Amino acid sequence: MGTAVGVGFLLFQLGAVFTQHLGPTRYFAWAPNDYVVRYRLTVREGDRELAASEILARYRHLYGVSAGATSSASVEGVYENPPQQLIDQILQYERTYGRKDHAVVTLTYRLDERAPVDWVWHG
Amino acid sequence: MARLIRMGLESPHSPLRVTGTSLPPAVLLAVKVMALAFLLHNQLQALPAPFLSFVPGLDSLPAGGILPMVLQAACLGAGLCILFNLWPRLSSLVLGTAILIAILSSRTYLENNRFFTGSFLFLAGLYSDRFGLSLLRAQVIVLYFGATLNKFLEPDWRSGQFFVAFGQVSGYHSVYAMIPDSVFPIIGWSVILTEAAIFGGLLIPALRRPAVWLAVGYHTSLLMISGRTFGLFWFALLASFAVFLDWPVRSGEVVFNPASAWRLATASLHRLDIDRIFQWTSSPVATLTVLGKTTHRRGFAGLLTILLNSPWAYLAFVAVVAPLPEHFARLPALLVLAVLGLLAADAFLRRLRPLLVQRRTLVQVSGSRG
Repeated sequence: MGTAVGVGFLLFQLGAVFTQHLGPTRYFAWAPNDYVVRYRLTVREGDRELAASEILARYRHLYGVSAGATSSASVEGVYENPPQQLIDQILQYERTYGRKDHAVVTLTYRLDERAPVDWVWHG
Repeated sequence: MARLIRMGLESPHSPLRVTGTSLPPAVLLAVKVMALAFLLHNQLQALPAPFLSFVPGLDSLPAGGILPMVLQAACLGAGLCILFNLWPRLSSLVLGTAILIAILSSRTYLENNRFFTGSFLFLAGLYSDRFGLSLLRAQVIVLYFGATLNKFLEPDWRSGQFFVAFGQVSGYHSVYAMIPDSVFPIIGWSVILTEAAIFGGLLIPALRRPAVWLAVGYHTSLLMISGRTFGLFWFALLASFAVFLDWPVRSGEVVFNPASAWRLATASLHRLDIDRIFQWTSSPVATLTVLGKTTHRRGFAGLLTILLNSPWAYLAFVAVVAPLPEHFARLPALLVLAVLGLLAADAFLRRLRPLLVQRRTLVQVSGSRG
């Protein structure tokens, strides 16, 4: 029984290794720190831009945020997974906890120092 | 007092003992290293409350607020049980499951190093004598397969663009600026081929040992370059290689001189060998000697052989290194690379020696004929 569970667990991982390549994420697919995503995140609620501390509190943990690179109204950091995983995190928050805030979230990122990409969410 | 310490060390529940439990010694050592690193690396405090979970609805459970406390209690209890040889298989299952539940309960907690540690501990908890080390070895092999495949399929790894970007954020802009653009694809392909070689080597029994040494050197070099252990990754991954080495086994006989200058070190090593990995014989020889099946290692080389085969040495290393701030991480990496260098030099000289002897004999024979 235990061995069957173990084999199933490994098959799940092997499945993720293959199927995650069909989309833009790499969840559970053993792609450790294979990306350099420099990003800048701003959040606006109505007319008010949230302060960096408020953005950090909103999403609780944003990977790779360095204090020195964070201005008063935006959060900057370096993410080491595909950018879609960061977007997923923001989207899940805005569709659940933050759905009544009607926030406008702007994520500007550069994947591996390529051209900047803007992703905007209107809540 | 000394007697009490000795009784504690030699007890079946000694943290330094890796034999006499339901897990094979190599697995128990690996899970002990992982549990120790987990407890000393501030991972207990990092266990999250459910938030943006992978499983829909998990973060809206009324009892979700107590989950971090439950996970912390489970991880602390299971971690200590592993260290003290109390139900180590069940405790590995509990610790691994707790880490995996924490990951499922919060996207923000997902990091590859935690997923690997949780997965290995979970599989160690499912260990059965019938299937042996297969599942645990498969876990490490799947990791390298996934890592190699991902890098191979990413254009930025093949073109070297990843390293252009890495240079921008690594804090070594000036160093990276000196590297010609044509070199970056070579670096990218070197990494892909190294991980592919480790994957292939771990699959083939005859190549497992060199694959493990390559992997230890590769990941420790990454630590030297980046200055990061990547959370638990360096500790957990290196510990997991124990399951590929049929280790520790009886590693030979230690012949020591109780009256020599090494006597204090020798006596300590003898006492700490609570799993009886070596057979210890006192003899009025000039220096400490480890007699293997085909090798004799004297003095410092013998000491190094004893340390490399001693479970306590790895646990002591992790106990010192895991709590260190990240900016000190290069120091232990330097030590590991130095040991690898010594082992490589030793292996090279051992292969060279018979050739030199053969050549000398040929010269003597041809000289006597002439």
